[in-house]
Amino acid sequence: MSASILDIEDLHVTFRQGGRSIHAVRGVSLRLQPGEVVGVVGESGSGKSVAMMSVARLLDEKQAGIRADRLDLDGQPVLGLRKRQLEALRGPTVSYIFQDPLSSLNPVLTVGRQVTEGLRRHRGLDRAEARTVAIDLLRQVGIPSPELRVNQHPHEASGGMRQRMMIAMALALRPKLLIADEPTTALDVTVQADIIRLVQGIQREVGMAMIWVTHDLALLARVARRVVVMYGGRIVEDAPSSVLYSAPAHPYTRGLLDSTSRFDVPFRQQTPIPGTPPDPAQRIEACAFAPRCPRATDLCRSRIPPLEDRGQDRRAACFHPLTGGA
Amino acid sequence: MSPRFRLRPGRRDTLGLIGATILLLAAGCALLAPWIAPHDPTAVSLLARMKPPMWIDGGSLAHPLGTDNLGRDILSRVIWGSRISLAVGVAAVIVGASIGSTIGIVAGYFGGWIDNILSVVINAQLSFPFILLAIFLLATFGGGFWPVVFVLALGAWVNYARVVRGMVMSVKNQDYVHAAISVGVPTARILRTTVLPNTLSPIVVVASFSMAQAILAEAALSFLGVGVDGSNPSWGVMLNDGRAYLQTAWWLTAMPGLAIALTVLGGNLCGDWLQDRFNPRIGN
Repeated sequence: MSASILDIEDLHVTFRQGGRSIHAVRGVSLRLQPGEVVGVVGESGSGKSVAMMSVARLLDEKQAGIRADRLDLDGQPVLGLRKRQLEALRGPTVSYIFQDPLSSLNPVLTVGRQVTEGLRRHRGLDRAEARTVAIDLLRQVGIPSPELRVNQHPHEASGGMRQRMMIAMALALRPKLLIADEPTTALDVTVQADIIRLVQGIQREVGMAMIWVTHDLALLARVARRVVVMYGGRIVEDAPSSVLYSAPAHPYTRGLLDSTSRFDVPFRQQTPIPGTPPDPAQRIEACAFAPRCPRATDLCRSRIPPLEDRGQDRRAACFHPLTGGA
Repeated sequence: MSPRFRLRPGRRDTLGLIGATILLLAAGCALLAPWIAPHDPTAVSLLARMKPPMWIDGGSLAHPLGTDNLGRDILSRVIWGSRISLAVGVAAVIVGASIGSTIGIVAGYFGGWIDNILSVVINAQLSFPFILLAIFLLATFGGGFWPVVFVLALGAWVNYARVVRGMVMSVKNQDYVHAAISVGVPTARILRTTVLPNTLSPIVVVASFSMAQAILAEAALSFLGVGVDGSNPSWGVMLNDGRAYLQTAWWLTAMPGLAIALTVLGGNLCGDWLQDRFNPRIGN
């Protein structure tokens, strides 16, 4: 097996806020091979975005405490790096596409400037060179008349166009790992498909590893070979998508699948998961899903279920899995 | 300016244009003083003392705004006075804005103990009566152009620092700052290319207002006798000179007073206008 592009072992992220501690990530372990495409799914507050932001140490570390047994990016221990070394990693090694293209572009800089911000830092391009590259990049992400667009400001473009610009910015340095944090959530449905196709196409062409962070299981079914389900700051299930969709092991995954909107099931028959997600301010020494789980027993309420192999390339953290049971 | 910066007819733009026109007129007076002033502003003529403005009985076209107690032409003095007032205003704005914005950006972006210390300094400065500080400093170290500029900048930097600090604190959490960080742009460059341009609009707005304030403060200091020294008349000095004759010859104080009021009004109208227009998010 080749060296992992990303290797996370027992990652914890805790925010300190006015004397309170918010446990956003409570022990996540994840390994990604070069070129692998993984989907990370979970509801708001499941810690998925925070965990992914920690990969490049993008969180404000005055508030966020990051702790991990291992957090290696392309073989480098991210937690031990200095600022300069981190800046060198951001861009060529790991890059991000954020959720909201409307706010992810700087309103006062021209599109061309922003798209090549990273390039100028890493490759030391001058203005004229950067402009040429910017036009190229914009063309690659399917923006019509890029020669005009480079000189425009973000507010002159539509949401879909802006997300394309974000993508161009993130891809400018051909990152080995691209993390897309809900890249289509803020877009019109009609535009979503285009953007997904675009990112997928570039991913295949470049062969980079990729993480799609989303709460949209239907989307992941299309783009990811492997899906990681997060709940309450932990990974509860990690399986190839074919396995996960047909036979989820964790009751939470089941619940997610059942509550997903589908055209072939009337709205009233879709089953929401009862209850609410765990309070991130609480320490949890049990299965975080136990209070909402129909299969929960006293065991679930007294110990944290470990993330164990369940065969078929699947890992699940459940004492009473629905399938592949121990 | 980008070609998108177009004027829309409406109250805002009209008032803004009036403000800009006033400032431009003042700037024109300052630049062209030697050519447009009808008389030497310091030429004393004891035969023509206390002449009223031309539209009052006894006034004449030779001295459109009248003459003062030494027979000096008031119009010429007001025109020459604009040089000092505007130069002081502009210089104070440049010095104050540079210092204040830098401090504000550093405090806002890095937060933590740097911010705590700077915030204490800012609050201490704000709680100190400025005019008292200015008089104390100028009386101790002597007046003059640059001392006045620095004292005014000392009074003004907090305004920039406060506004910029707040702005930076909101800007630094914007997604586009994260996006820039996530492609490896170093902090110094982020401050320069991402944070600073986004705080530019409040800086320009504060600059416009504080230029008006600086002109007013310079007049006040000159009035109090600790301002810009020199043979050239300044509006504040004229106010002071005319004070004794308020009852008998009001134009000695009214004319420079009007000049101050108009310029300050121009600065404030401009500031208001820029506040609306210099914001790409609200703009077209």
